[in-house]
Amino acid sequence: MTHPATVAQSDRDSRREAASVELEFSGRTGEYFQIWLVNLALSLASCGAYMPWARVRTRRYFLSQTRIKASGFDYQANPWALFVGWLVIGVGLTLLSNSSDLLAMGLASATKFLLKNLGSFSKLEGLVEPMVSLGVGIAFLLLQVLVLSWLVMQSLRYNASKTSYRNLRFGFGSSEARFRLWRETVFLLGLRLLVPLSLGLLQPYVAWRWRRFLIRHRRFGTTPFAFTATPADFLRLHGRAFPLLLPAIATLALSGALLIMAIIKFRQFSVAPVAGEPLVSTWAILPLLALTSLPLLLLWSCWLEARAASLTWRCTQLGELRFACTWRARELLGMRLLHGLVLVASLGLAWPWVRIRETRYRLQRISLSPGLALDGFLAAEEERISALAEGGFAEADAMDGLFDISF
Amino acid sequence: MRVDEFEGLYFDGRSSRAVPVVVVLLPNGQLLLRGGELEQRQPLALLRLEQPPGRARPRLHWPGGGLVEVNDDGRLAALFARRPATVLPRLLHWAETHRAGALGALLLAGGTIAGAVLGGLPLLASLVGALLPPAAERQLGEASLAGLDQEAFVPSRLAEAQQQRVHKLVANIQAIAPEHLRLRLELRDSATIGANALCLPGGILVVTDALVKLATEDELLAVLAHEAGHAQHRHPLQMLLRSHALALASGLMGGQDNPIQGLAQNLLQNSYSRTFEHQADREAVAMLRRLNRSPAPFFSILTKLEEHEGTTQLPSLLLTHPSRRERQARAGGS
Repeated sequence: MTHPATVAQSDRDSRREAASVELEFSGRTGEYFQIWLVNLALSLASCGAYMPWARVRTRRYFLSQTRIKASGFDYQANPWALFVGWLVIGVGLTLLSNSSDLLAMGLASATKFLLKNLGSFSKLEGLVEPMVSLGVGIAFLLLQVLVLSWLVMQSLRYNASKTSYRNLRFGFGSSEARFRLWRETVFLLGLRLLVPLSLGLLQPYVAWRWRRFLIRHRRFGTTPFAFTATPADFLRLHGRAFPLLLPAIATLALSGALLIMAIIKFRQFSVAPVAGEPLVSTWAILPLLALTSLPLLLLWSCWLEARAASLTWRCTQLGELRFACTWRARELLGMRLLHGLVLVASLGLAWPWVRIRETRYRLQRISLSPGLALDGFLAAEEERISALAEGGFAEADAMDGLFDISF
Repeated sequence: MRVDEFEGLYFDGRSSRAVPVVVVLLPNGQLLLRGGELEQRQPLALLRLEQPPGRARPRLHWPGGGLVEVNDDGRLAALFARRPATVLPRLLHWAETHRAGALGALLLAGGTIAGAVLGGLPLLASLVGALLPPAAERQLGEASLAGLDQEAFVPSRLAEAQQQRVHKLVANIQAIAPEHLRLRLELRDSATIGANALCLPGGILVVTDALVKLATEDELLAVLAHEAGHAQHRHPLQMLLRSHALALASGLMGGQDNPIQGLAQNLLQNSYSRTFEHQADREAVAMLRRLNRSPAPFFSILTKLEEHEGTTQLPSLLLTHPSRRERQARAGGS
């Protein structure tokens, strides 16, 4: 499936198909610039209280400018629900993060008190605080994963249920299977935490699992999306990207070795070069090394992003509908470099231009076939009611941005 | 097409089918929906017209979950314009689609930022500062002195007699200082900061050996008066509070790792610092007058320090201290 020749072949095939329809994006920089400016001004003037409205309007603008066969998408979230939700989340997360310190302190002093009264354990006293704070830290990490997964799941459900095309709502999971969905989210977030521990070896599996989760629970009306890629597909993809990562790893290792050597030689980091020490030449190499590995790292991430998107869309189905995505690594890289430069040079004012340009590129290279099948989707009456009932969980929306892979 | 007819696409909300329709405004004020097998009429009161952000067709919500994306020339919107619920959305849409709206937004954003930075944050900092007990401020000063002692200072190597002379100068200033100001002198030697004097929270003045050696007694008195000016207006605490407030505000705007916001934060802190320097300069000149001394030594030591360290040609925007010329001009020295 992932062999380059087959990819090119299938791209050609999808282009040949007469009934294939491309996503259009008709957003304009000038238009979005004004919306962005009004959002920014009102958010600033209201000390951030306007932000939920700004978010809904922005999302709605981008979705309504995304069209298939001249019909736009729509987003009908209630900013008031978001506002209340963000308050609850803000207060809740602050309380959670502060209460862990308090709890650790309380537990530590209680344990110390016990040890003192039991006597003969005074040697252990020094261990109490680190042990207790470690235990509390782990417990709160677990609690946070639980809470965060619930929020992420609800956010996905809420946003899907508020997004519609041709007045037919999307959906994510179902109310009855909510707890099963939660369990899967907990598992996925936990798995993500393990990726660094596995030195990245788990990444292909996690990438596959996460995409499958996002796609196969989604539905348009009553029709569910399906995802047919296998973990092996993603493993192959990451394996083929690995050679691009090698020079970066080598340079990182080399810089590390140089750094250690420099430390051993001079014992310390000097603020200014001291006469007689070849400080400048040693230190000058490090940024140079970083500079050579940075473009390669960027290329690697762009290549992976483009290929993973193409694989994901190719293996996604909605009823009869199939998808294709033709992002190119080189184009993504060029866009990212250009946009980064322009953003810095314009002091951030070019943000609307960057966002419109990037969205247009990404969306216009996704196509559906056969496009003729767009009329046949149905909504069941009870699904619409359940979608409305989700309005109360809008607080989950705040987490949505974190996990938006724009699949 | 008749004048009171509007074309559109109807979506019933039960399937993804698009039905081309016409919406007809009837003489009795009702709207008629006609197209395909559809023919429904509804009173205006049961309908809702909604404009998505930007340039897009308005959406007419039909009772029962149906929706018409309708080609409106403004007349349909006018029918719904008198409803109170549509006032704010229409205002927003106007601002988002007109030049004047963009200009207004720009002014509002700039005004809010300028107001917060010039008025709001300093006001907030001075309020918090007023609520903070002097003991807490003193503790803060002790903590930062302890930190500096570890990082940059070694104990003073000046002779006892020379140290006593500096202490006596501080006592002179203390004698004419306001009631609440409690000054404490700490002498230190430092290779890092060279000839310098600083003011820490709680009225702790630090003077380095190099400065004592560089300055005449009158000049030293002037420098101490300047630092006492900082202490009198609680500048170190204010600076701490303001920079925290700035960091917080910047964080709230989502800019923790945004280099542009970091730069703006630095420039603002520098401007706060320069304001404080001018205020301390004015205070120093006033104190010297009260002690029947000329302010001239203050400017001569500034010149000396400049020669000692070498002048910089950087624009004042990038500096925490104003240039000597500017300080001299603003503090009224000649």
